[in-house]
Amino acid sequence: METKRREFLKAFGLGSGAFLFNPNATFSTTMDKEVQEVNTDVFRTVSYETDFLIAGGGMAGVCAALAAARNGAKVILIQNRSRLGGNASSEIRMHISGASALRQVWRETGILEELVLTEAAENQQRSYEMWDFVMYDKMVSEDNITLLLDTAFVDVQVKDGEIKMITAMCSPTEEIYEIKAKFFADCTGDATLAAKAGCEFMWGREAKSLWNESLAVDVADKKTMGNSLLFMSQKHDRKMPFTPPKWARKYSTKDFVHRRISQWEYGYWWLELGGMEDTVKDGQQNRHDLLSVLFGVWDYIKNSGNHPESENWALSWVGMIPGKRESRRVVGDYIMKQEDIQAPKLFDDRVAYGGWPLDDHPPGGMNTTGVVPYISIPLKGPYSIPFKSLYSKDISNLLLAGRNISVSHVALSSTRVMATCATMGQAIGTAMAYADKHGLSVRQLAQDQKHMSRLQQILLRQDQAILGVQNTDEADLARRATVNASSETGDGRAANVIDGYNRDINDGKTHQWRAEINNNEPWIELSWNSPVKLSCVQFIFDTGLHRFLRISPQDSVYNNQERGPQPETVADYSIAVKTADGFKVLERVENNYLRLVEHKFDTVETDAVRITVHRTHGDPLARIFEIRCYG
Amino acid sequence: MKIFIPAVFAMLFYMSFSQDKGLNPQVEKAFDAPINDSTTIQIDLHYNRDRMPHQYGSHVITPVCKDGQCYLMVIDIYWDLLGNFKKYELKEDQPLTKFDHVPFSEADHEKMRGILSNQDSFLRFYALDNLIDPNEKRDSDVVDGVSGATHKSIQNEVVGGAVYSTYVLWHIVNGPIAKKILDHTESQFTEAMLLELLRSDNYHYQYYALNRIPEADSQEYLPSIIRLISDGIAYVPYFAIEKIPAGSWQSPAVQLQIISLLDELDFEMQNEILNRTNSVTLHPDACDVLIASLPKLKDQQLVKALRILKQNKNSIRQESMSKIADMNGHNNEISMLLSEIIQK
Repeated sequence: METKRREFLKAFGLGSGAFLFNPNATFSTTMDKEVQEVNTDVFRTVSYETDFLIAGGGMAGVCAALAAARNGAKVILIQNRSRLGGNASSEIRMHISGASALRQVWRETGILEELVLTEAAENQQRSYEMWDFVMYDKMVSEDNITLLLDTAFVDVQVKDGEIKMITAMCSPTEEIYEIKAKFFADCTGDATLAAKAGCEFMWGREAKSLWNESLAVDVADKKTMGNSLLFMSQKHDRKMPFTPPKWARKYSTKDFVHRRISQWEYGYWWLELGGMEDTVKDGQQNRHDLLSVLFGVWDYIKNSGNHPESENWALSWVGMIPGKRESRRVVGDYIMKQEDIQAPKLFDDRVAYGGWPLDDHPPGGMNTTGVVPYISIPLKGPYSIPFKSLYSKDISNLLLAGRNISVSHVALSSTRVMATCATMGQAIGTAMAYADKHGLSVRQLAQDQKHMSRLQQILLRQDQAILGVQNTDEADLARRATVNASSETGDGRAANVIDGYNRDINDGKTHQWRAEINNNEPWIELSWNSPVKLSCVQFIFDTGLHRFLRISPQDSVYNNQERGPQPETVADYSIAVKTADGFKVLERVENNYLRLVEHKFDTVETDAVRITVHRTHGDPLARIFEIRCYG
Repeated sequence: MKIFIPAVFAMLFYMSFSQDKGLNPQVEKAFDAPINDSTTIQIDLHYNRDRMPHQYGSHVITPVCKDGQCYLMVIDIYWDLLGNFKKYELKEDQPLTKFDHVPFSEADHEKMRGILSNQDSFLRFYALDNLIDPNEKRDSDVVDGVSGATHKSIQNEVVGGAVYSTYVLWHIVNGPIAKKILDHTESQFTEAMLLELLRSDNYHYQYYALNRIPEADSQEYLPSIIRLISDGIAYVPYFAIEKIPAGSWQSPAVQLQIISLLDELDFEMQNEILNRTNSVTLHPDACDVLIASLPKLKDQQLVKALRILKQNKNSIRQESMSKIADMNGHNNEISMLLSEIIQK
């Protein structure tokens, strides 16, 4: 554009370069009116420098950002839409699925738990957009986070195997961001950043012979699981006829022999296409094809006659953004495979866990309605995710979380779900801050078991979903305390609050203090032989991790939960410290609904701290999994 | 001569008798297949009386081991022509046994048959080790094995106390052999076989055969296809009606045959017929039959049928038209349609 402008001016005999340095100047009326300077410099370049740049604001990216920020790192998160949550947001509305599917005790804890508990308590109106807002609120409440919405990653600068800077564009604000950071995370789902940076990645389905995976295909190919589009509908008080658009597909009963329709207030995961094409590059056509499938399915529901009860129902929301399941998978120092899911080991560098079944979808989707749309192999228990699968082996400062991590196609069929992705996010956010603090590279951290163990302790303290890690934090004064309580049940001894476990781990023990409330206000007390300096007390309360908890447009799913604060959770409590004049209440909390609550206060010196439970959210027992005390 | 003829009769009698008894000499080897690293079994193709391929069978002898204790499984397994499990037979003195050599009960056999019939069983994807969890003894409701109990998540997939037997048998039945059987059948597939399968009451056969009819020959197989609309098992009717070539819907005979089925078919198939007749020009005979079926139809179906009749009102005979005139519409929409049909 600049060149054209100069030539334009030259043609009018104006060779002076003066105008070029003042692009906003226009000619005075004494000059030729036809020649006017036009400023076409629309995009403004803005530079940022930060500790951690996270590309992608889905569940993985959001949790990574919060974890890193809360551990002291400066974070910038870029998200290419205006809402957070990715496939879980109101724009796509897929369920947050994960280890609750085991129907044991493994709902994910940590930041994800904080988010879903907040939503359950504060979004009684079941508004999807208010769920987006829960995430937005958490993000903007962290000073360490700069949130750049509507900002799409465009380019990356790599030098000496390290990312130096990325470029991203925000169209509504006409800004081009150049963001430098020490560490980067690809939580884009499609691994766009990693691919642009030259990382090796995998795509498609590996053959059985490669990694001895019985669930793999016989011959490797480039097909993947498809994308899905969801809808919602509402019942009205009169007939709501539906005429499909001309480009909608036509379905008949034979197309649904493997896809049972028993409700339609919420669409179907099997409304799926794209696995035979490129789930990324063929996106424009894919979206339209999915819409034609969606309206074809709705037409079938409304007009085939097979669902006469749908007469008064009408579409209230139709997704415009296909929810992706699978695209690129970046190669890390370790590639998780089927055996890591089915016959899991406790990796030394474990930092998260999953528990969703091995749930693979044939690539044809709604183009092959004669085929069963999924296989789902249930697992016996949760499996660990190693840190070595959460960074690129090729770029030294690039972490990964989400569906794009280092896994085989078969393993992805379990790890791809959003609760699992959220725990990966918390893992890499915490790891990044740790690495930065200790001057380590990502790989150095992964390979140093001493550091890894310390990271695991930090993760545990922050209630990360992690397996087989017990509290061995030397700094936790509670571990050295004697624990007493006003009362305790047979299986809920007071000492359990310092037994090193902060949840039920399916070993037959409760790992929590339990006391009957019964019009009393039971208390539990930690005391030391000699006074200790305390500035922090933290609790892990019970939030019913054996249940599902996530927003859902589907009534049967939504109603099969405790919507609101979880009944087991301690609602009102006080923390008191022993002084010369007896116990002095430091803090009184009301209406708590969170699992992890941390209290920071001015340092006090005391030899006992007492927690009194005034009220729960319904449970007749006061329950506390863990109490920690720090100086 | 006098002795010869009775002897001939005796021989003929013996031959037919022996065929009835299953001592059918029409068995030929199809192929060999390994069932583990050390054992190969022979799969035979059995023909029926009419020299048509009938089923596959194999006499299997293989050890089933657990904790170093083995027993020899001796079993005759039968597959249908498509490689689906058909049945198994055991000798009295060589039963299938569970933990502690307890023989299978009838309930166990029934469960086993169900498992073997399920080609989608998880057993396909589990390694034998994964079925057992040595640490899970406490958890299990299933008979406790010395080597550990079956995990809850797969208890339905195995016969309690006979995990290894279930696993071994399932993989013999539904592993590579199943596909080899299908391949073998397909290598000798004839038109006569296609017709046999189409005529059968086995839904695997019906579905397979329906999909084997070449597109170009749909017209030729129309009678079989129409038969499967009414006699198809499970979801076969939905595929059968799809297979009717567009052109055939114009034929008065076809219209008559299919619309006559309205009375006897289930709700979804009634809807299928109504939906597909929607854009077809109906012959007067077909209109007669449709009008006769109206009492059998439910509200929304009635609306569909009346709309079809309205489009074809010029083909409705006087006698049938008077039936329409006699009908009462129990809601506005139906009343309006009825009057629109009888209007000149």
